[in-house]
Amino acid sequence: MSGQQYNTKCAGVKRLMKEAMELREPTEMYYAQPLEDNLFEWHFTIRGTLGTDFDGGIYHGRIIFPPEYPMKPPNMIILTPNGRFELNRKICLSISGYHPETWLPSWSIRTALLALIGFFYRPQEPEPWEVWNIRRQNAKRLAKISAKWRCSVCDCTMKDVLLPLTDENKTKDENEEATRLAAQLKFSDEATKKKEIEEATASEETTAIEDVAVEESPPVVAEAAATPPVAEPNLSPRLTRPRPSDTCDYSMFLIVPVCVVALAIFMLLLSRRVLSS
Amino acid sequence: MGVVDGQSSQNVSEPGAQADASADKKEESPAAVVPDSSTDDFKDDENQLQDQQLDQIEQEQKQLPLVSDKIPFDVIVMEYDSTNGPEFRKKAEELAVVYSDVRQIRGDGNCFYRAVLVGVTELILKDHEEARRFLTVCEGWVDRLLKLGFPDWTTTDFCDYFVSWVKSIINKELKPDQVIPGLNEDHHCNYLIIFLRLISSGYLKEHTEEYEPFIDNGQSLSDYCCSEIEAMWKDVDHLGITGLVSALERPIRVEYMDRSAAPNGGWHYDFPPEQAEAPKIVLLYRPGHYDLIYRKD
Repeated sequence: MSGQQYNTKCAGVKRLMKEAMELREPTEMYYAQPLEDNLFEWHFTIRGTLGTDFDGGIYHGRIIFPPEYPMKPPNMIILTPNGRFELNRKICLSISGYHPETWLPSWSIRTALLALIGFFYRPQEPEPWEVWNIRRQNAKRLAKISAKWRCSVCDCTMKDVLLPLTDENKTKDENEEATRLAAQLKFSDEATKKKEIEEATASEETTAIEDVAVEESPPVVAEAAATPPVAEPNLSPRLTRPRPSDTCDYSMFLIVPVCVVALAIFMLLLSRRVLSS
Repeated sequence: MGVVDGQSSQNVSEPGAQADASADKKEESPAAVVPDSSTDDFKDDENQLQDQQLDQIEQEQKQLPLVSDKIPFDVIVMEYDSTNGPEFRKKAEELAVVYSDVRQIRGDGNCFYRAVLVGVTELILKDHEEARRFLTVCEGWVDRLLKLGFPDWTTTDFCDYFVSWVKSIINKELKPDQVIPGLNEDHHCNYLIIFLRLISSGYLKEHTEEYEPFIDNGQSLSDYCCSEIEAMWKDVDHLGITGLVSALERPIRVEYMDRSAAPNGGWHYDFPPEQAEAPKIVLLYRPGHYDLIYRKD
């Protein structure tokens, strides 16, 4: 912040500075601070919703503030692979079902972070159980390895950012508040641009995680090999919306007829023996 | 040489803008690499179009000042002639008999709140006693809002901002002739407006039982307040007006240019109704929009 000159008389700048002061100490659930050279872009770190598949995950991202903040809502972008939100895509916050304009100025960055935490978990969507299961497995796996993810901009590793979890009631309260907020609010994908962005082509911030993912992959492969049919799609770190063709198991179309034919031949041979004797 | 200097000094003075621009670029670039499926393309185009339209509307709005100077009421009369609205023309002429000036307010969804803000500001600039009373009311609202469960420190932030602004008017830290022009500064004025929206919502929430029956689509009062009053850029309706006027404890009169729009079917309506004395703040309502108007002396 030091190199920059902001108009401190501007109410929005004052507000952001106050929020930075308010959030300067990491908590067990979240931490967010402005970038050194830009008060209108922050990086944040949050814990996945406790008691869900994202429990244990620690996720990092950017918050981009419009010049009109807090009259207009901030946009959030998740950088850590998580199995829930697409990476490098703006998610914006609003009351369910309305325009982004229905962001309330009396919400704060803390509100937005808590809502995002709560929004990680979502009830099962109408989709095949198998797909849902893969999604869950993927989320759990990514949550496990997220602690080793590194942000090159902040120069920090996820596991070191937040305070360690204790049994404090405050954290539980915050977790509950997060769930409650998520029910009240809505994150919508920003209307425009970026669709699914492949990990490999994403901006250099995400390249850091590739190393971690590779490091971690051998045990995962072994684990996945034990459950053959779901192994391949499960390995992809991007699995926010699997296409049916990725996950549907066509091998059954081959195995079942072969078994039937084999059984028929066996029965035929058996019956011939029985009859001939 | 001079040009180069000019450029470099510009670069130094606006590092924030540069950083923003480069950040945008970074976001944009991956999108170009990844092919989208056609249906999503279509949806995105549609959304983009809508965004563009919204942007355009916003840009058009921004060409008008938030609060115009006082201009003669005839301007309103001249907006209409026998071809585009003989009815409106007639009503405008009738109003021009009573009212001499108008301040036009930008139609960005905050026009009602902004008009009231300007009206109240002019009152407290003129009358010191009034200013003190007004300050007491505003100061009282911090605790009232927190008691209602408004989020603690953001609410306090807005209240403090408003109260210290009123104080700076009272003790003349702000030069009187700069107060109204100052309301044309987006950030400053909108911050003050959020306070008005909060107390308007606060008043209604304090009287939930009384006002909840007026909400017709089955929403609860607190949901209604969240989505219609506390949210920025949302037009006011009858409940919002009642809330703000009661919260500020300052009566207002609204002149309806469309006779059918007045709740009592007449030309104008006072909030709260049946004032002994005609309210000092008068707004002009035309469908969907409020301006501030002034009586002839």
